[in-house]
Amino acid sequence: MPKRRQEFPNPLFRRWLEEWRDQAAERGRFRLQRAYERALSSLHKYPLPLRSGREARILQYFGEHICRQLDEQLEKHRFTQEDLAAPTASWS
Amino acid sequence: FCQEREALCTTPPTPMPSYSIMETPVLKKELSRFGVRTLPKQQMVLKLKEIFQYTHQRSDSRDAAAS
Repeated sequence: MPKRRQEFPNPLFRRWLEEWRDQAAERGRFRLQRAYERALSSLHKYPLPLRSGREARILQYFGEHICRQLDEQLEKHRFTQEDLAAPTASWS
Repeated sequence: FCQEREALCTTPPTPMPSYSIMETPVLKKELSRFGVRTLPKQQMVLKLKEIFQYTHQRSDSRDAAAS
């Protein structure tokens, strides 16, 4: 085991999943909230950087819906990052 | 003397477990520790090797950079 705690490899995915979880909670959609919560629990265990929502399909509790949602959000994110001329590879 | 030093730096501290000879249930269990679902056996072996290499290589280079 590594001595030091490593940087979290997928900060963007974590942030979005947390946002969606909180939104679901606000709307009282508890099953959806739990789905995001479970997805987050596997994301926290996964040590490699993910390049797409599709790639995240190998994780437990990452279904079609969540993966597609992540890909769409990633697409939007890349688009805005290009507008700002900022580096796009912040998730890698 | 130099060779000895080199060997110390390049030899990985933990040898990689022999994932390729592990039984499927063991592979499943190992992968679930990393939040990964059940995959075809060969894919599970490759994923475990990838995770091992990534985590060990990273902690090595970080330790080297910090010291």
